[in-house]
Amino acid sequence: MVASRSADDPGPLYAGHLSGAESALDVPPVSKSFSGNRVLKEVAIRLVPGEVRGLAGLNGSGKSTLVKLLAGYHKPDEPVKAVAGGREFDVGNHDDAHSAGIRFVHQDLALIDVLDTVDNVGIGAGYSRRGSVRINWRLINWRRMKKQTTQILGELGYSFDVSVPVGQLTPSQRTGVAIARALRDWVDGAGGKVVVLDEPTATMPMAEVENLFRAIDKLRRQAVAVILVTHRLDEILTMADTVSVLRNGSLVTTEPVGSMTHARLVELMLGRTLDSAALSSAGSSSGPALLTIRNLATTLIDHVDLDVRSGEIVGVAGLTGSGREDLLPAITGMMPRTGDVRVLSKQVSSHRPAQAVRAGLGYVPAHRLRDGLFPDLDMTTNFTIANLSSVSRHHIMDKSAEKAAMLSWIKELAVIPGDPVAPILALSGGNQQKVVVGRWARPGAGVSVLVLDEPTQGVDVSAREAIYQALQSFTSTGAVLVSSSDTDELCRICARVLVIYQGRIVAELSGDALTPSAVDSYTLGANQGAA
Amino acid sequence: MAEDPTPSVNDVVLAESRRGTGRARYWQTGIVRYSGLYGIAILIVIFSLTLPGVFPTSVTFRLVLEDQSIGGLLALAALIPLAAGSIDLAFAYIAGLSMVVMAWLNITTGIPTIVCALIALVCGVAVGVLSGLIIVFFDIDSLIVTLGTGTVALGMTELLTGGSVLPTTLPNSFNYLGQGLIGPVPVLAVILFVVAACMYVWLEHTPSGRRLLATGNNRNAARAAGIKVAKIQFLSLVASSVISGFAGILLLCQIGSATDTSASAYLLPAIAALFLGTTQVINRVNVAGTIVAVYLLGVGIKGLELAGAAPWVQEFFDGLVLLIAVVLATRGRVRNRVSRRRNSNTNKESSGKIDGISEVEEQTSA
Repeated sequence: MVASRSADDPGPLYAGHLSGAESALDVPPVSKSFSGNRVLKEVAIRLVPGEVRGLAGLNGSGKSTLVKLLAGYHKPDEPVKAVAGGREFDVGNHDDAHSAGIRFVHQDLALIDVLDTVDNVGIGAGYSRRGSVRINWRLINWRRMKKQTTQILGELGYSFDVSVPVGQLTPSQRTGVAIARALRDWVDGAGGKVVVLDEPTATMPMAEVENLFRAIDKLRRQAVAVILVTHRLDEILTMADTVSVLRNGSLVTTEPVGSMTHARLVELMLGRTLDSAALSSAGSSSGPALLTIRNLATTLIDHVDLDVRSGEIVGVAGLTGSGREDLLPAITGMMPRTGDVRVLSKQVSSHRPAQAVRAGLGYVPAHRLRDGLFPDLDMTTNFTIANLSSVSRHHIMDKSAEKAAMLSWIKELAVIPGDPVAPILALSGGNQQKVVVGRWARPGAGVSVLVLDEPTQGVDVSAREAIYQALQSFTSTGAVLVSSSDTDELCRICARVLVIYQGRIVAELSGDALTPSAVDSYTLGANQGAA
Repeated sequence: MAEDPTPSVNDVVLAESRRGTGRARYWQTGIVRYSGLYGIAILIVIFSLTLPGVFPTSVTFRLVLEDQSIGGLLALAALIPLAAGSIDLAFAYIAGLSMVVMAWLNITTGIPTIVCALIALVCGVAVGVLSGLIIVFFDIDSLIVTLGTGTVALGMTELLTGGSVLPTTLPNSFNYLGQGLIGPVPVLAVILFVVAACMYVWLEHTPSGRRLLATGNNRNAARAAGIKVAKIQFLSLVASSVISGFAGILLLCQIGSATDTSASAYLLPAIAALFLGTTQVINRVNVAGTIVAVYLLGVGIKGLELAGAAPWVQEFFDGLVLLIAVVLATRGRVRNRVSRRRNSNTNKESSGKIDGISEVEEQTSA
């Protein structure tokens, strides 16, 4: 069992933080700017051993910048020395933070699915070796390794077969493996013991979260300090001892959870009291419904109904893990689903994206590089690929028609460079996105419903405006559904916005009720806690 | 519409694209693009100077064309699945199977040669269909599946030959296919050119060729764009087996007798030419580049042969040219990646500056 470290560490004390020796982690005020814009303003954080600290804040509040500073992914504006378990380290230095005992369990966990738990722990944190101190055979002692792994997991409250490939484990078990890897890596007496859990429950079904909580509780009893970054406020309220709220890059408060309520937490995050404005009904567009969804369900989405009418742009908001990210892939059939999806009253079945495209559904995926682009093909090829019959005659490509279509889109959206045969990867992210959107929105693409996932992710401001314009003019003949984590964007371009919370649509906002703060509060589940 | 709100931002991006990615990318393709053609020219000059009276003759010209035809056809056969994103190892064994089936039918039965050829072709295509079905329905890596089906085809080939040479007596028309000349050009080379031209038009100028290339380039994106990727993968393997079987039949016409190893010896040289071809003309799998690569290797090997080099020099030369070409092409790509990263950093910063919050930062963590 890992015991609490001695407080009398002879390591150097940070001036002015005389209590540093007692804390598991003590970071003095730290700031971070990106191109002159301060995204983190003098935020200090201090944890004692065995403390579970919730970190709450909206997108852009500086939450993940703080985590990335601790992880050494970013460097602070001014060099800052922090202390972990009596050991001083430079904030922004990855190796320093690691040897000071700070471990990160990121949302994607970075596990190797085909290997078993023993290997996943061993590869990350080192294997037990055969032989003695004098003779090192460089061979793995599998029996000892397996025993140790089982023991660490047991201390976290897990008891599953460690020789099963981790790909077959449940989400909470997988998180357990990642935590075990972090725990095994600690050397007693060197630095503190801090685990940062970054959105651990984002893709986890509700039932699994319980198991993870049990593991966090075990960590607390081992005097490990835990920073829990999560969008789900309920989790902070049930699990954490204290909570730090960030807003616009500043630390608003750090308080014990005992005195906190859901409503107050939302209020602190938004910076204002909740306006419980009445929901106004949609009625913005009376055109025919081009996209009709009934009873759509996936592992994260719980039977959603949705209509998108001709001439309107409908937005979908929701936090990571709310099911929002699954919605569009599920509609297009890229992801398995159940339920009824109709495009122009033609039914579209799951697993058949080609059928959806033929019915007139265009899909701009969230991961442009992974699911959107053909990296070795040129700009025009990337542009026309979804409907080649419009730029071919008698089964031969009409290259001049293709070029003309590209050039008119280049002119309309100011795509740079304006060379139709430019390699697609020579374009900036924003210009790549203009091409991908144009694939469906161009005249002649034959698309009547355009669904876009994070349409302006990694897109600069001028390209963003051009894309909004293109969507707006697309609605003259079609319907648009936009799923985005950017609330301001949704409020700007959408006539109505649906909010998904825990797999269900909990609100539909339009007209005067459609404000960023209203959307944000519903994504946080405010109507349940505050109403 | 799209009245640009901030021309200054655009100017910055434009300047960046000129300075960074754009120029580097074009420069790279310009130099490497036709290096194979320059290589052929240089080799011809060198061998003509060192072997006057031996190398620069019409006989050498004819021999190069003749020797490279079957290998060229097989490289084109392997090109189709590769363009669709699957590596095919069965093509040479399919050629071998077709060749031996035809020879065996010709020797042991009295059926007309044209029917023998058709049956042989069907046997080869059956192997391609089998590979395609297994790959698509069980979603197994094509390299493994075609290794398996190809080896099975090789086993059947050995069964039919019984380890010995099968000498055939083909009608003149078939001999003409394999050994005839049209003017100074071997018929086989003409067949290769016709097949290459058809494939070029198909891949570069038809919608279905476009969909094939897209599938091979990014399967996810192709699927999202409404392309039936499984169907394309299956058909690419079938098309490949048709050309392979055809090449096997022509090989029999060329050498007149069949052994179990005559066709499988083409496996690695054809793959080498194919990958060398991806560095030529366009920076991806393409027909013109493959043909350039085939003749670059062919001219070099013929020259070395005439200079009296030992047979092992052929493999040595094949491998060396492939390595040099791939290293040259990759160097260009590495440079692109660096300048691309520089470009994307600029975007990130400009978006952060204007929006007040660095959204890219937030989103990448999500």
